[in-house]
Amino acid sequence: MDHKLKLSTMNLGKYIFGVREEYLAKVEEKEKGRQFLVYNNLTIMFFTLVSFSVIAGIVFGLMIFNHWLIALGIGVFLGAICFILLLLMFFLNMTTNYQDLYLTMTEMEPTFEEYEKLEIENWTDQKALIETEKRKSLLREANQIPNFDHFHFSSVITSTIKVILILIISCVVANSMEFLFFYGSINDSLMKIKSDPTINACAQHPLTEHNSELNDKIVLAQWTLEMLKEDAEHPFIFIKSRSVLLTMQVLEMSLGNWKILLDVLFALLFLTPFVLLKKSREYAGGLFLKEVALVDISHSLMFYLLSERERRKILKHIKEHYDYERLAIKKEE
Amino acid sequence: MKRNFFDVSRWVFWILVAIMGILTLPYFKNGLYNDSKINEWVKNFDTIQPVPLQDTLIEIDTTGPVQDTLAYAFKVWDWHDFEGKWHSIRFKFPVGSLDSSMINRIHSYEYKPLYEHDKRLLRDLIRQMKDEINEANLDYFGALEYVCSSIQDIPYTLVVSEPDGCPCEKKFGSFSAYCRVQPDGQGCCEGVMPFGVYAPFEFTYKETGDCDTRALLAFTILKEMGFDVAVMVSRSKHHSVLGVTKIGGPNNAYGRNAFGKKYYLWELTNPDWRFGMNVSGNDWYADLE
Repeated sequence: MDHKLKLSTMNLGKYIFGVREEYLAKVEEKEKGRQFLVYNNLTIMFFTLVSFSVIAGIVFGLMIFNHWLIALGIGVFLGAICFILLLLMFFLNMTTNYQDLYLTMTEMEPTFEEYEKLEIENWTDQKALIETEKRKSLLREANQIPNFDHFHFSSVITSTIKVILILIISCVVANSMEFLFFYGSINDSLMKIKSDPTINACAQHPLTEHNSELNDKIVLAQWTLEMLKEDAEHPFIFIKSRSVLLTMQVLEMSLGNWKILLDVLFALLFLTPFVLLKKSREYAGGLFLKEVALVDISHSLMFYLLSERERRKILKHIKEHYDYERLAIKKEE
Repeated sequence: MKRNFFDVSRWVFWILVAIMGILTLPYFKNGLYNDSKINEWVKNFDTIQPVPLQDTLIEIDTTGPVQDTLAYAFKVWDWHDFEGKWHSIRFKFPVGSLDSSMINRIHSYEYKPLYEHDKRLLRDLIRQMKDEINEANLDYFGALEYVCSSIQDIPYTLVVSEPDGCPCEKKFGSFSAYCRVQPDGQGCCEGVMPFGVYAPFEFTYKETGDCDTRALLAFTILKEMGFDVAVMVSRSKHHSVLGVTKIGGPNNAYGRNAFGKKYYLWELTNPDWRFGMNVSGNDWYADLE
């Protein structure tokens, strides 16, 4: 409960998703706390995934370059890429949700018609603002639980692309994390291969003239041992192999179906925030997005009222000082 | 309900993160990692493996459904190995192989064409021997003994090129005029042109052969299995044996090829002869490798 209370009073969401507290000023404390909790969770999830990506970059950097500084650089680089890509996808989802909300809540034509009958040319700015706020409150009340249909054919395509992108990232991260989880066992297996008499005998076997299959094995054995040879001046830091592919093969053979399960778990981990944003009512149609849409709608209305007021003033001025009928109406020849 | 969706998803996410966290700790993941498949994978590097051959004898009619148009005959190749265990292989060969092998032998003046020609005829025998070796999980030396014992188990028969070469008296014994396997190893085959050696297939078919015939068959089988072997010849001893690498030590007899590579000698003319027993002569050289 303490965890909930803290998460519902902090506002981490403003650093990533721009959850400004003034947007939620008119919302009940309980709902406000809930929205903070929701967006704080999303922010922490986001940073967790980015952290995984940074670790993945470091792991691959160590495996490929066997150098801490380069590995850290790659970790930061991969983390930055994932940061941008995940942020982009989160925002794309939120933008779609926001637009849906905006279009659902906004039916401006009947509203504008109402003002055509009123004498708004004499309204002050304050009066226009009050009217706007009144409309905003009405709209808020009318859309307590906004209801809209997400589905559009284009969303299938965009969602597919987003999911594929997320799966690619999750696949990269999953493999590197598996290397990290099992690097001790992998190193033991690699050492076993390195000292195996069969593979050593095969590598020392001279190439034959008539047996291409055997020659392939000899070359593969020689390559395998070469990849496992440690440079005395640059000893292995992480995985005791110079080949990522060889390490991957060892990992796949050793984990078997567990590797598939771990890959799926990582995919699930990366897809969870995406699905949440897409399907949870607290994001898609949540109070924060609703308030953001209301602010934008009230801005539109406010500027409509101000511009309409000025238009009418100008029209009145023209009618009083010029022959408006002659200017505006084209006479028949 | 919608809130539940958020709560459930949130817990799914954090439970997954917790699982990943636990996996970074030692001891919790040992059950997932099993490197027994690596041991299987390493076995693939065993040099005793099936050898793909271009079999020109199998004619394939490409205009119609693919089918083997050759007729096959069968031969049983059986023997006691050095441990006294009985082995029996029923292998197939294309009808007409014996004539084909003999005609090729008559026109060949070296060991190599005999090997090149007959390895195709013996393909099924070699395949089955490889299968047995793999099934028995024999090591390098065990596989060598398996093959050599199948040849050494056949009693010796002298093979000479002269048309009236049998019966005869040689330094190493008296030989009768019967060109067939005799328990005392005194059989003799004459007129085997051009230089008194049967081709490998002829030997497996007739089961009669002397030193170089045996060495050549052993070479054919083992070479096709991927072993580094040679047919070793001594001019001073008028004798041939099998040469093998990778085994043997300072006390074992050996010969060399033209580049100085060592082949340890394996006498094949007698079932009692095992690798490591002395082979006399000091001018052994690799005639075919």
